[in-house]
Amino acid sequence: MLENRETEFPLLSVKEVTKTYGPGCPGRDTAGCLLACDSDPGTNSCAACGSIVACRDVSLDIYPGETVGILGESGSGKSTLLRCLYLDETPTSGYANFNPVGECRNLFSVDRALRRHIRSSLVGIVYQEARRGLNLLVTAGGNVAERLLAAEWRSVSDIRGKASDYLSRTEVPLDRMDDFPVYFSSGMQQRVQIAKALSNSPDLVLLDEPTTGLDVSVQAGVLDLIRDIKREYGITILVVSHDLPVIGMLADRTIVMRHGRVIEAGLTDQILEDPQHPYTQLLASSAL
Amino acid sequence: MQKPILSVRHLYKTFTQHILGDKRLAALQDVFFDIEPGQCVAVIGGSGAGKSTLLKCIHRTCLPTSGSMEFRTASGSLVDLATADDRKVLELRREEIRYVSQFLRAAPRVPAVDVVAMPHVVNGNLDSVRRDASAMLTSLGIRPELQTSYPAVFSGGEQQRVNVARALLRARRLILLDEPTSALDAENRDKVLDLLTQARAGGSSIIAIMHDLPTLERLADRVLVLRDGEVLAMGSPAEIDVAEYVGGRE
Repeated sequence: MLENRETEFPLLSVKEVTKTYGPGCPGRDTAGCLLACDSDPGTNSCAACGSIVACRDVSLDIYPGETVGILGESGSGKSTLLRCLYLDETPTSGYANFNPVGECRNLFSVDRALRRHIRSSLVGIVYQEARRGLNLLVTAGGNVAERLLAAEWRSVSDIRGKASDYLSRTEVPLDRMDDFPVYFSSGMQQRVQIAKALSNSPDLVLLDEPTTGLDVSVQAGVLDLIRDIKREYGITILVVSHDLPVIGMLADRTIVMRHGRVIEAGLTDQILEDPQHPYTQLLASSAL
Repeated sequence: MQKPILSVRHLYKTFTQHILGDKRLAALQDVFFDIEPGQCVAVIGGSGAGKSTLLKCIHRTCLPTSGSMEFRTASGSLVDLATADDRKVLELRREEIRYVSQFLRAAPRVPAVDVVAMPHVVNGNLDSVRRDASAMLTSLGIRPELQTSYPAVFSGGEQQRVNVARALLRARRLILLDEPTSALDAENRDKVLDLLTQARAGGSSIIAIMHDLPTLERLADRVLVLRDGEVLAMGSPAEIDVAEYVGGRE
């Protein structure tokens, strides 16, 4: 799975994804809320009906082997977008063409069997809260094994070997492999989650604030690991963060979200050094 | 005469600071120049003249406001860096264009030798790239025992040499240097200049911001003088009284 830099087709092509929560304005479908407002309305709750527009017309392309960052404040819709792409949530409208080798499909219209296959084998996710991605009452090794089993690994010794390989790469001490993550520190839980998500080398990895809440030494370790694995396997990454240096270190290209909308997109260094949108300028000039 | 590798025309860059009431700062105005393969153009001028902004526009870290920057790729096609799409720019950055900032920026907890080697690793050939990186650092006077330390604890001059080594480890057709020798003593400056001279002899074109006469005299084929974002003068070092614009002789 080496990086193919000349690939013409995106691995994932997200088109006009909208996700709203709430009843929607009377006489319109749910996606109709705030539709009258094409530019940034300054809020993501509809004044008329109180519905929340978490994502509005979000489009982006991710090409094989590249890392794309999503920058934005909390409540900007970053995590909602990731959860839609992992099929945790169903978007209100829009589609996402997913194109791993030879099978291009709209992620949002797959049947249950394919949804399971995509979530277990083709796409991995690291949630901001480790407990979303881990079963805290299954051992660390068991968590990784669960994912490998779901990806149709069958040999117990292969599974055990892979689990210990990835846990040691994420610096989880192997003598704790058979402990329950509920007894781990949050940094260690996060590393187990990363080991689990990456263990079966998925085509696409979604990282939701992978280092938020970790102390700086653990944060540096997690970033090292992500970079190593990216270099080694050429995986494609979509990383969400509100932390500018994290995005700067990982992402080739970045989109900036606010109030559910993409307000700016560009090369990561350009977004950080020469931002064009007032909000991105505020973000960049506020960084410590 | 060879065809230029880069042709900059009518380049304007205005920074609009929305958070300061749309305050506008004109950084570059109608900048133009050509650079041929294997040439070195020195960019000189006072602080705030737009030198770094010019380099960053060519690298597309800054978005030009208007104008064109036609780059002739290895395959001979022309790409306007001012309007090329992001993925094209990324591809050129990987393969043809290198930008060296004034200060080293590197991931934490990565040893100096890996800081230099990692960007050049393809298909897992880490060991050979690492050997080359180590040799280059040694040639720049970074001792082997230092090479396995983290650059964060290095002196400014050592960091700058790591930065230069990272950029020059593999040949690039266009190298953009923001004051490559500013933190170096004369001896180390000469080592960096040796490397740059080699790169140029190997066919690389160099656009470098320079502040001292010895660097300029050793390296520059042409000099571009900026003042307040405009081209004040352009020509060979002999044609331009460079001492007027940069620090005097040692």
